[in-house]
Amino acid sequence: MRLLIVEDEARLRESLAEQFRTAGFVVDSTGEAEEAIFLGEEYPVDVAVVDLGLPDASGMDVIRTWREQRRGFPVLILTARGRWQDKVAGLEAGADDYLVKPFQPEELAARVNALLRRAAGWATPVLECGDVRLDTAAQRVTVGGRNVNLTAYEYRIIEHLMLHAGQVVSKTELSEHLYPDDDDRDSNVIEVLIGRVRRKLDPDGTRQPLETLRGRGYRFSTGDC
Amino acid sequence: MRSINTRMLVAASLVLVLFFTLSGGVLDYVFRRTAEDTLTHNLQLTAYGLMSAANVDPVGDLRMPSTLPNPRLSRRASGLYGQIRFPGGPVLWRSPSAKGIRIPYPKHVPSGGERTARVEDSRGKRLYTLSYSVVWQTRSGDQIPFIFDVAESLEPYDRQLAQFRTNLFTGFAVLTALLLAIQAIVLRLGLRPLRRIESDLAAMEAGRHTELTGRYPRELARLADNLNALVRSQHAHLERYRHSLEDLAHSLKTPLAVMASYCNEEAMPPELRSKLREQISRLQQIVDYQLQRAAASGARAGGKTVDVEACAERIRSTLGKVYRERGLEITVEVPKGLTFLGEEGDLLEVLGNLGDNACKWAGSRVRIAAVRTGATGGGRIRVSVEDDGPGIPARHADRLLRRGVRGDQSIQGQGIGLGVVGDIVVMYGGEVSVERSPELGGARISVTLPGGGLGQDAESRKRPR
Repeated sequence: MRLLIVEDEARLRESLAEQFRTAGFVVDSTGEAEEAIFLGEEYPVDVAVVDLGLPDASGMDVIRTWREQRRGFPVLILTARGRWQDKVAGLEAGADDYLVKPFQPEELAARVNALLRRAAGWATPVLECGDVRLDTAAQRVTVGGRNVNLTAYEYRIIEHLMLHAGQVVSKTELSEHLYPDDDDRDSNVIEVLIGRVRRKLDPDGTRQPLETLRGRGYRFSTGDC
Repeated sequence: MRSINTRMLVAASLVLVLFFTLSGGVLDYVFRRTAEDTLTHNLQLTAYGLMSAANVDPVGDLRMPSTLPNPRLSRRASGLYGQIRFPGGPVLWRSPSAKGIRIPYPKHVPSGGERTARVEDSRGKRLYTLSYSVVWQTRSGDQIPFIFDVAESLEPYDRQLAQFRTNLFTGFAVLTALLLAIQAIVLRLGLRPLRRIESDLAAMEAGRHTELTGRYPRELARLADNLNALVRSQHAHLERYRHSLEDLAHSLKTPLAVMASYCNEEAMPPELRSKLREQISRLQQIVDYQLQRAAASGARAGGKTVDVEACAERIRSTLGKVYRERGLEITVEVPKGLTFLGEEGDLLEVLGNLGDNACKWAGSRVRIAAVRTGATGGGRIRVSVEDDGPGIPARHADRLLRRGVRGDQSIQGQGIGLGVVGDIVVMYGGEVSVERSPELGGARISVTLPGGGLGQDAESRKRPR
């Protein structure tokens, strides 16, 4: 998952970036509106967190510009202004949710996960495909009621594939959403990760929830989700 | 006597009445004097005529010719009478006109002088008399005193006076009416700018205008300018106040967010972390509450009217977005053209907080409704938000609307929002009530707020995208 953080307060920006990196996100961050517009237009952003009070322009303008460029990724507004007038204006500019500062980091994580899920078309916080259950709130995966122990990266891969269940996800797309820089994108790493995830989800090889389509990518498919 | 118009009209009427009474009196007096002088003069002429006609022989006997100087003296009951007598003695001669009529001439007349009087004759007619006392010198040198009495009927005089008074009264009455009418018109014209400023002020109060925009005469133009400046400075002041509050909000809240983020550090002992978070959360609540409360303006002087339906729709779409996954059915039932007299931000704050609260508790349905209450025109509006949730127990209802008290700690931010609603509503002189929704079955929170004037303002009906 690729998250863009637009926040001018450096300390808060770093802390948020760290928090989401730990949770397995690929994080881009900036404190300036102009760069934020550029990043949103050029990077495969999955979700953005935008502070409204930026030094060079309003976060509202950033969102508006993205929307004018047909960039449809969900946006969560961070604002110090708790007035409804500001919330309404922010959502009318194209944002999808808001959070009033100061906030609990868990609250922000939950909202961001919910936005991601909603953007992929899932209505509930728990994704279920056959006996594979992924709880986006608790960030836990169970298979047939058995808890699967996953690293953050492994979780993100399953989440991404399950959110787009039934669709073919290319290796490039996966690595773009999992790794920040081009240099790190080694297709072997993805293959290794996919192999590990497969073993964890399906130790005895009976279900085969993860298909490999040669030269095209992967598809999460259990037939009933 | 509260209006300038009435005051001036009453004062001018009093002056007019006083003027006409005095001048009427003077005119009447002058007329009477003139008429009496004429009467006296005529009688004098008659008396002189009698004197020249009278003939006293050397013996002292008085003889009058059969043809008198004034033929009216010969015609019976003609209204002009005369007689000649000795002072204190018998009547020597009486004019034929006075036959059968007794006239009580004054008995004593100063010797060599004259005397006038008003008397009534035996028929009850009013007469004006003139008596001359003269001393007649005969050829033999004897001096014989006579009194020549003449009387003239006052009837023509009275008729003339009555006619004059009628004319005078009628004329003055017509004049008074005319002058009052003219004055009323002049007053109307003169005071028209005042009326205009009055109606413009009413329009401002009703929120149809933000300034006094009309053209006024010099005396009022300065007043209007000053008033406009006052309103503008009040608005500017409010804006400045709000902006500085927002700056304060930003500068307080970002450090709080930073502090909250420190709590995530691995190195933070868990016990300290939870304590710190609790304190940060308290600080956050205090800041939130005070800022929101202060930012609510409640300003009304020269306030604009706000279309309630448009605001409700904006809140509906915002809530719909935020609570999308709940799949709530949020409906808005607001009559077209219903307006709120006040700041748009305040209405959004009220609707937003009530709607947010309803969405948190609702099962599947939330309804935002508004109606006009009371009389037509200004009046008030009642805005209510209801849901099909569990409802609010009566014992909590009061506490909820008070500052920052949370009805249920499990749902974040609850207390602050409703507390702010309570504060805003109180600022607008309205009331908040919490009851059970008769249709949806959950809670219904209703607030009364000032309604705008006619609600036909094109500007306020413009809808945001």
